[in-house]
Amino acid sequence: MKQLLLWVTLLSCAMLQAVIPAWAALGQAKAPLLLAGVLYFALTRDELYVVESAVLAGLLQDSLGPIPHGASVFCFLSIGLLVHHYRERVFAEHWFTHMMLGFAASVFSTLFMALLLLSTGQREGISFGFVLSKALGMSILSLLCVPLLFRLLQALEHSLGLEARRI
Amino acid sequence: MRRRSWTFWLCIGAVILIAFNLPAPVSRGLKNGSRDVLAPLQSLISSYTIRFKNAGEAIRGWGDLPAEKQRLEEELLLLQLQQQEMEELRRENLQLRRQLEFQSRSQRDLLAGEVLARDISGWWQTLRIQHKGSPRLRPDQAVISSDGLVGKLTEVSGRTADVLLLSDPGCRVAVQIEGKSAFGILQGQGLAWNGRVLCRMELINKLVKLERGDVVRSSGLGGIFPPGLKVGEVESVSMDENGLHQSAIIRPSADLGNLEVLFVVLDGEDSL
Repeated sequence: MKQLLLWVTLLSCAMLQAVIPAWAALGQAKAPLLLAGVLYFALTRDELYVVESAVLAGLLQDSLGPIPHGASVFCFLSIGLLVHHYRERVFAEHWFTHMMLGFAASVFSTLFMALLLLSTGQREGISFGFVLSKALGMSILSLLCVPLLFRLLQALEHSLGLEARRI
Repeated sequence: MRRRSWTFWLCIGAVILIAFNLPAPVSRGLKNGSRDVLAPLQSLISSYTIRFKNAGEAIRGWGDLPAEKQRLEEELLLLQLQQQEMEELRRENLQLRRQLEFQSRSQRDLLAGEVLARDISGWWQTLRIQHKGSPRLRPDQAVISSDGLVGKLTEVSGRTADVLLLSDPGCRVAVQIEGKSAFGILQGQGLAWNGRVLCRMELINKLVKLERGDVVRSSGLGGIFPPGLKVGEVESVSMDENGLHQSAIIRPSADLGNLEVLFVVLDGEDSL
């Protein structure tokens, strides 16, 4: 059931992220739902689940867009494993932690993608201002959607009886 | 415990290395396969999103219904008058063509596609459309809406195709100003903070006098876009820094932020 939840969650996040329009005012930022999903599993599951969720989320993001394969996988794996490593030093159940983790992870993933796309020549015409505004937009959106997704998944797990043990 | 940990990290490293170094055909195949598999799900979500959006617009526009009705009636009247004029012009055109023994140009061969989703990462200005598995689709074909040019195909899979929009900096179109011998290259400039699509036409002959509202069409010189497709209108004109050419900001005719059905211009003997 936990496996099913993971797959359904990440697939739904990918579908929604693709459909929700970008925020033009701030670097065409998209709501980082896949990232939020990875953060959730990094805080609430063991290492294998974290890797599975990060690889799946990364492959979905890379497959559904023009991003070169592997970029999002690396990014999500780094974030997921780092958050999982330090999960006992934060208040993993608190909404403020979720907001701050989402904020930091969004900034990291945006800067990482910008560096990767610029260094490989995949994207032209990216200015520093654009990257900065995109990072800001992504972090603002993550402040909203990460705690929301956490609440939703916690409620879902509660209703399915999966929330007995937190790793 | 330590050995298990070593294996674990080795596997992760291998996954990353493999993912980063997939050969291009494998990567393309993987992307196309996953897009095709997810297409029905995306279509379902997309249709519900459109319904949700339409419902929201209907609720917002509830109070304006009488004014909207009157506006539509006026528009209908205007369109009927225009249609009569067009019919007259068409008859006259046909007569002239026959007289001059011009061969009438056949219609472009189009393939419709429903918009499924936008770029998931937000780094590109792309759309994904769903098609019925036409073997005639290939990258670099022009994509239009009923209002004008939208972009070009980049990736084509069995059921879906990705469209690079005019607003993307990677999309360049050879264009010309209608009625004037002014040619240039149109390049996307992304979106403004208010969501307005920006495109810039560069390398225009500085001696040609351009005006706001001049119609921009594809020239066909680049070899990708067929000639004559409406692209947009001139919004403002400025001289280049070096003073050798003019540049113009172009407002695309198609509403790139609100697209539901697009048409791919298929290669035909007469279309290129």
